[in-house]
Amino acid sequence: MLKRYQNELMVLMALIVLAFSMSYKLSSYNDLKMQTLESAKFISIMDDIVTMKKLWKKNKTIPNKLEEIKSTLAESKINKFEIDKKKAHIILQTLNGTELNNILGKKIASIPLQIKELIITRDGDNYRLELKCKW
Amino acid sequence: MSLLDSKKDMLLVYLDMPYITDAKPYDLMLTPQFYIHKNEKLPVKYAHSATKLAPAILDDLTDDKTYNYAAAKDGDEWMLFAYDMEKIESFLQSKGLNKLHINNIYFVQQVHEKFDPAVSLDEKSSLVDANSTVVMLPKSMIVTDNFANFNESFRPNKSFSFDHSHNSFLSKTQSISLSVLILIISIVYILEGMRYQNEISALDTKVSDAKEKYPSLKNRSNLVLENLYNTNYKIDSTQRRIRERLKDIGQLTSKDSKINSLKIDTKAYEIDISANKKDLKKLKEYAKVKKFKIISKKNTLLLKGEL
Repeated sequence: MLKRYQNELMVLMALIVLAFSMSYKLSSYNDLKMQTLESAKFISIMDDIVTMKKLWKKNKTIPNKLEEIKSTLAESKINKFEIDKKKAHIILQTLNGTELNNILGKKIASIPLQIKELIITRDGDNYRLELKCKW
Repeated sequence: MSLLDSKKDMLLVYLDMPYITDAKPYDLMLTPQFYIHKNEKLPVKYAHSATKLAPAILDDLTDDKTYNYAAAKDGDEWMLFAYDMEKIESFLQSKGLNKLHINNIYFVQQVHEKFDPAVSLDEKSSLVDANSTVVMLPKSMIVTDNFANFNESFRPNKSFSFDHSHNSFLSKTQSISLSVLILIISIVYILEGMRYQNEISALDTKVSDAKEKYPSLKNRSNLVLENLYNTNYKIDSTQRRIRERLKDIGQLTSKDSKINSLKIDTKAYEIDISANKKDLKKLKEYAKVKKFKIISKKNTLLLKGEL
């Protein structure tokens, strides 16, 4: 019986090889697609973690930048200025509008410190500012 | 007989042969009643080349039927054979032998020297070597009564595979062409698959390089990395939103509109701004655009919301 259909068998064998090679190609293609997405995601996650950590957690210039605020104000306006290795608690008082704007806009908002709490209250023309932050 | 032994019982095929009752595979030895033969010196080295020349050489001896051809070496000459496969098949069928049970075929001419002395076929006929050609003769024409027995020693060295494929849906040429085409496509698929695998390896290298770039994250699991990412992303997005709100609040304050109080932390904010009636309306519109939650009192604007 096998000899009767030996020509068809030859084609059948070739078709089996074709099926295997096709499944190899398709599975390789799917693996590549998945690997491409996973690799891109993995590399992007690693890059982002390092960038964000560097920005918000490992920034060593922040204490100096906070000290700059202190140096621009009269001592009477500084109620509390505690800078630790990783955090700070600052209370400033009797600030006029210009000083408040400068400290808020040009300093606090532009320094990459983690603002935990910011409280501003007005008393007449003067302002009180309290900042709790870390980095 | 072992499973690997392809030699089957050998059967002499002649017109008056007895009916075959056992359905087992046979090798056939064709007598001159079933083939046309000619010896010829040919300038070819291989049997398939000689077989290709056989139709032209045997043309004068054959009629218009479709013949199969075979060639075997005989000293410095080639034995060329023409045989009618369909005729042989139908004859064997009439003798009870299914064509599927036929394995190899031989020609008595291949071992002509073995037919001297003559081999007895039945009561009337015999096969004898006459001038190096095996012929069928009536026993009455044979001088001797001493006949040789047909047995395994008559088996020629060269066998011809019985071509079963002429009953196939596809011809041999068609099936070979089709198979080659399919195999070429398969090779292309395999090569493409290998190319994809190479690209996967390149991506693995890229990931390894990234790990080397950040040694602190090198041995962290994917889950730890995702947690680290989520923690840092939360800090990043919260702090960016706080700064956006501070910028918006900056736009709401002026000489005539002042902050009474402001409280902002990582979860929510609350701002109290005082202004005259005219400015208050503008501030409200701006606060709406910036999507603040607005609670307005007489001369003050209270903005609340979550980050």
